[in-house]
Amino acid sequence: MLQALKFVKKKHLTLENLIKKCKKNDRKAQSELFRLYKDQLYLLSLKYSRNQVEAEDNLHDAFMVIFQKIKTYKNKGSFEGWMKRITIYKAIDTYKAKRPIAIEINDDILENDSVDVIVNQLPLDEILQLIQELPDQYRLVFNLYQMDDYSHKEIADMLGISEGTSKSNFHRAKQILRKKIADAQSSLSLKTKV
Amino acid sequence: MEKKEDIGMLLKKRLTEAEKAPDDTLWNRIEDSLDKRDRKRRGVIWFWVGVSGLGLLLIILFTNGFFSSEVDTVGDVSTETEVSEKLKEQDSESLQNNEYTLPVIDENEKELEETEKIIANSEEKSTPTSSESEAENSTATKNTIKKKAKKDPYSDEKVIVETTYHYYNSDTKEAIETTDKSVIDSLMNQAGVLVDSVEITKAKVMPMKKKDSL
Repeated sequence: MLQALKFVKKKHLTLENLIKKCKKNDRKAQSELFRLYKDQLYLLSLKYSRNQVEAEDNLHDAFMVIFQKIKTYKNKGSFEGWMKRITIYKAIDTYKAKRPIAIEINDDILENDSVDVIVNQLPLDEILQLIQELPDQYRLVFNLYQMDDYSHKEIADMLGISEGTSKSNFHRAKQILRKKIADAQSSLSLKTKV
Repeated sequence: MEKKEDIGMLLKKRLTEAEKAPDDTLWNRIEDSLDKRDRKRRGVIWFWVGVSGLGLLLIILFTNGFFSSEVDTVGDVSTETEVSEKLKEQDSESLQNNEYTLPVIDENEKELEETEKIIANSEEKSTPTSSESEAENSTATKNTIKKKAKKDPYSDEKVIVETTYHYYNSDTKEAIETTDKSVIDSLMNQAGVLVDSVEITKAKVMPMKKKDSL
């Protein structure tokens, strides 16, 4: 227990030192910070982006902002949370800059309840693909509400939509995901039969 | 009945435990962008340093321009000294010839000449004075001449002066002004004094009468 606490304390001191050096534009410190947080923030970018290329662009832009804004970072709250917020805001900016793709919403989506098994079986890349294939606004709302615990009111403010639209977008996003997973389940069961 | 887990919660659980690494070349891209930004920032700083330096230089030059007028006044003084020296030489020559042809003529100089004539004509009536006071007077006269000669030194006009003769009898308080020399001669003859016999020199200058008395 004591050893774990010591480790946590050492990590905290290292991070504090790293942040100090990054504020002075130390390239080595910046490289180290990137190495520590790139995986986490890349996964976050993949959830919010349409594809891998867009996710990498988002991560690049996010770190540019992080290294710029770190000079004004006042060590209040979680540093990790601060970086995640920057990454999410960058993804939202990209969405707002691009013209939203018009989608046809099919109401004849059948609800399939037994999806928990298939979700655990599907590879990570396929799950990410399912989310990335969602329409842009649905994807953003789904991630913001489900993955990052923003309220519908906060989502409405960030995206410039109403609270009601945010709620309906989230509901529709889940419906689409459920259908896709069900289709994935069907194809899996067919494979096993063969 | 099985409890149906929400699809959203399932996906969240699955993705929270996961890790995914970006491409290895991504850091190189970020580093290049950082270098570009630093170079741009340095360029902007040097631009503003240059602008502020230029502004400072302009302020210094503008400020120095205010003091340049002092140089002009010094030049004026030296010019005046040269003119006064020239006029000194001319005065000495004209005293010998008894005719004045000056490059600079004005009314004040005319009065000076006339005053000298009066002094010459009334020499016999002069009050004896000490050599020191005479010297002072001559100096004063010289200074007066100098000062008056300084006026309008750049005029190139040549004018022949018509000499006006003055006669003053201190006993009878009689004063006569005339351009006809013979009138004065006759008056002097009556007094028993010949005008041409009197030597007019600056050393023998009598106490100057005030302008108002003339």
